[in-house]
Amino acid sequence: MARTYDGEFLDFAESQGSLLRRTAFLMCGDWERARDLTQEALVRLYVAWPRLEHGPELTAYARRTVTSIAIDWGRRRSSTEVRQADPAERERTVDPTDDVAERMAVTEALGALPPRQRACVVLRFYEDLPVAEVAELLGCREGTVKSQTARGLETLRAVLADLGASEGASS
Amino acid sequence: MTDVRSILERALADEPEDDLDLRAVVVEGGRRAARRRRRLVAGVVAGTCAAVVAAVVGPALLAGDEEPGPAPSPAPRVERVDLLGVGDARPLPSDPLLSLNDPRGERTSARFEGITDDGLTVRVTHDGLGGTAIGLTDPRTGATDRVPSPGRDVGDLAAVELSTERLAFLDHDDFATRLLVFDRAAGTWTAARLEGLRIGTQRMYVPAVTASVSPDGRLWFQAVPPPSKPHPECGVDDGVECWLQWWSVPYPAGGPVRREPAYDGTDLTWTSTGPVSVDRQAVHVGTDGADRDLPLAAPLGCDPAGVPTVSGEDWFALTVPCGRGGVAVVVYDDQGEARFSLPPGRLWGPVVTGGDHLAVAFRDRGAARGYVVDVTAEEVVAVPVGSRTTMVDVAAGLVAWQDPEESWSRPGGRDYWTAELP
Repeated sequence: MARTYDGEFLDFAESQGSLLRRTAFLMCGDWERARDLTQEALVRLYVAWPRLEHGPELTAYARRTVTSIAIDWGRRRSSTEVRQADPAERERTVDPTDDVAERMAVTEALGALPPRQRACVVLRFYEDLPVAEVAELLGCREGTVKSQTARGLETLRAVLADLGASEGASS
Repeated sequence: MTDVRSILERALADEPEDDLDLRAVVVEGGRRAARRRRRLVAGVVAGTCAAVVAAVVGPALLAGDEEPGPAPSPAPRVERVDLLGVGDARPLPSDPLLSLNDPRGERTSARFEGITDDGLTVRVTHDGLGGTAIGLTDPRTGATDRVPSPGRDVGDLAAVELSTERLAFLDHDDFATRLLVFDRAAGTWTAARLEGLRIGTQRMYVPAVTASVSPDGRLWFQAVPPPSKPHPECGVDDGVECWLQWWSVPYPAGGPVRREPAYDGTDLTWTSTGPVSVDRQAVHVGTDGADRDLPLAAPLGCDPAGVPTVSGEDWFALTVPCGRGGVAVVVYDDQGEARFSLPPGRLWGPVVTGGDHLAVAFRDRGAARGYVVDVTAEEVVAVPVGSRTTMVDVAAGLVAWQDPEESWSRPGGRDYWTAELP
């Protein structure tokens, strides 16, 4: 059978790839890793492509795949690595007027969240998904999403405060 | 106070340029699908043969995952491309069937199905009231013969053979798939329901593009479960190979369908002497019961583990992925030599064949281009296909394509054009 879906798949990948990579970055904190994570998700999507319904649910499927890989990779990483900021970075004074320093602070604060909490925060507040949809994406109950999100926000707020960012996080 | 979203967006402020490698994605995706296919074949072997055979054959097949195949030899590209100008083409005369039941064209829909091997264009017209008419038009004279009606409430027809002997279609409706065959000499229709292609209450879909006839007179085809009904044999993580199953039915008479699990997940086409399939090691060609393994070949930069698509008297063609959605068409002769390939492009519709010609359309950035290849002479002509259509057909020295400027659904218009090949 001719694989006539390559063109359709690439149209989708080209239109959604950057968005998926941003979500991936927020979940892993590293652009190179986000690229690898997004590519892995797109490979899985390609293999499943012929049996997927094409429509808005396709984007949801892609997002779900990115999320599950990010959580999986995050768990593996957290079990083998202890994430620490570069000492030189830590020495740096976080000046709210310094965009670079602020981005570092936010990225580091996100990095302090366990993978599942981080996914909840990103999906709820960056992707603007309702609790029910996040629960479906993560395969858990809505109550779990609410509690994980609340803990994530609390941690985020605390870490940002520790890092000296002047602005707090609020939902 | 800053909301969480703006904090997250600030983290994205140093986003680097998009560096996703979609070519690598497609190549790796194709490889994984192929690996899963081989695992499935190993599973079938283990399930059907004695355990001792499975213990030897299974691991051997699985070991193929890790062993690189022989280095692919590049196939020469077709250098010469003769352009067929629009001025050489002439419009297909309006099919009078279109106005029979619905003079204003408010209910009817017509669909071009292809060209018979004696050079007549085939259109299927639905009148919107359950009536279906099939017209054979001679583009040289404009005369149309109307085929006797296949009956009322015919569903969505897809041609599997348009020959001098017969017109054969797969007929899909909401409940079943039928094989409808019109004997042109006798002027009679036969209908055979393909039983067993169901999951629960829903029928499986049979893509006509997968259908081909084996030398022992069976029509082979793949059946795809409805998206909302996972196949009971397949797990959530199973790949496409578990979802696409091969079946066959006596052809053209029809009869009981038969599962053909040995080829599940494998892309397959039939030549007049046997099956053609491909894995990462070789192209496997069955010739009168004896199998031959041909070396893989592909243009530089393409993955040679391609998909067999169409065949002619003494040749067959593979599509091979070339990254970023590009696909090259590689033509082999029956001596096992990869004779030439078409430059890669994004495939736009199926590869089709008629006699010594194959036709293919590519689409890139909204623009489409079609090519007809004379396989014997190794010459190519370009066809100005429309970017809305996926249909270009070739047979009996004629090529037909959709008007690039028109809507496919405009009844009575010059939707399709034909031209005699030079």
